[in-house]
Amino acid sequence: MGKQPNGTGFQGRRYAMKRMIGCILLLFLCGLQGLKAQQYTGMTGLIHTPSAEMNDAGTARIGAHFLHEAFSPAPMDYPTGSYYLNITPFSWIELAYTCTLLKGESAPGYEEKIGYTHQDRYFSLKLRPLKEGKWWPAIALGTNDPIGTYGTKKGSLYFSNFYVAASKRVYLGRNELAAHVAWRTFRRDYNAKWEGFTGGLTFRPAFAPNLRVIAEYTGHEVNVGFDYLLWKHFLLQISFQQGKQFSGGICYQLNLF
Amino acid sequence: MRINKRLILFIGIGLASLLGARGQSLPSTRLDLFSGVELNYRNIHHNNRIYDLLINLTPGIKWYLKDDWTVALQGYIPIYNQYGDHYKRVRLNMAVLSKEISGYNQYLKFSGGLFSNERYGLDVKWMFPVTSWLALDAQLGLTGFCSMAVGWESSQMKRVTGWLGTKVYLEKYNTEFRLRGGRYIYEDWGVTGECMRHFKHCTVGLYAQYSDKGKENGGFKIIMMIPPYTRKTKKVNFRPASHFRLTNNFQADPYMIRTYNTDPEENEREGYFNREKLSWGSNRMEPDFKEGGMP
Repeated sequence: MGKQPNGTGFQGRRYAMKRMIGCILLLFLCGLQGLKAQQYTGMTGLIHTPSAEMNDAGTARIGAHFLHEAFSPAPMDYPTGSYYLNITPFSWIELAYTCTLLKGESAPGYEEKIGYTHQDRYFSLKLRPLKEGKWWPAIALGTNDPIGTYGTKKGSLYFSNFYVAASKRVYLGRNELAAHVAWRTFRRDYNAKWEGFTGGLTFRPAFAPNLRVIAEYTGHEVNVGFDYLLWKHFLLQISFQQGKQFSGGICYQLNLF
Repeated sequence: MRINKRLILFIGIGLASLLGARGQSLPSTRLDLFSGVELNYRNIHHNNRIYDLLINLTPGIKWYLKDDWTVALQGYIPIYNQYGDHYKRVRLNMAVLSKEISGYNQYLKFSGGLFSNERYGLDVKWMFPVTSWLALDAQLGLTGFCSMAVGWESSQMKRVTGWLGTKVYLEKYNTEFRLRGGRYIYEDWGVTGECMRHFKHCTVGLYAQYSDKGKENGGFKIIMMIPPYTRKTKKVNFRPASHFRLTNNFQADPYMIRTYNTDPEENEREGYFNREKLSWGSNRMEPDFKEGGMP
């Protein structure tokens, strides 16, 4: 490492490549020290951690996600899946509607078994009052399941939370590194381990701009994963909670303008 | 039996008008034959299924006649039915004769026949564009129940329904706000607030409702216009349905603030009136269907 990059020529590019690969490996290695991962709301963000990032205005998404049991709220002690619709009607507001499959007992008169016969449904909202500037981060306020089907006093409210998030990007050459921090509070105790501050880093390398590597600390565990945009419209996310527990999904996205 | 006679009359008027148009250089009347698919789903948790599905093919006919008269017919052909026996039959869903009138910046549409949601009767819709961004609208109907799902069932045509509303359209953002309140077909009184953004070939909206019987409710709507977006207008046209519409009703209440449609292709994006004559709201956008997209 005694050689300094000059930013031009083959040697410079080779050094930049090494530095970038080093950064990615570092992010992965950081992640392997903790464990856990899942993207479950259909909203923009990291894996479990919300961020102040927003999609371009007019972006719509439809997708599905497999959720590892270790990342679900405490009453959901089984693997499950979610599916969602998402839209960013303006650059400062994002909305999603998400359904998560729940296991439940058979209805009276039907064969007795436990199966995925129920689902939890909720809306998500994110507002970004402050757009990212050269010297300041983007700030967003958001919530998942703010009201609940039966109001806030009854019902499960499995994913109900409120948060404020900040995100700031810096560029290392043509590589994008972003830092994200958020504070969130959940309405039910079974999410207590994720209460409070959370944050993470994302890295988008210049040689693969469709790839975004993610490492996050949720307040309880460290998760690693990545997003990859395939064929302009399919956004894939793979994540590992505590480096071994897989969650992942794919969505179709397009811009309606 | 009364409905059968009306149907024959509608078909006769439309056919006569179409035949009368022969020999003219430009079609003064037009016949559109179209079909779409209607996806109904419900999430009611009581039968070991996440969703009950009801999928219908919805073939339809529209005759655009002279002087803004229109005849519209639509049938239901069930393809997949988990809703029960009431929905299993091939049946007529709509058979409507409509007439549009405009003048003095007032727009009216009169309709009579079999409407959707198993209602029949008479209906009038009104709109008054006060400014380029503000409009008032209303609807009034006198209807009864009429169903062909299980034989012929009907009630007398004596239920009065209607609503009065206002619309605000922000052209710079292609965004529309609507507020309307009134009495609906299950005799509940309610109010609906709605916000929607119109994109190219797609509209997405959120709504919130309150009624004296159903209480609070809300959800979202997606209206996606179906290609091809370029159509060649002939005397007889075959095409897919104009749009696919997805509505989410968060409380899954099938009786709250329900009304009926008087056109098989009615939707919140296109409104009730001929866009060639009413340049307000999303009608000011580029038309979804060019080259004879409208009569």
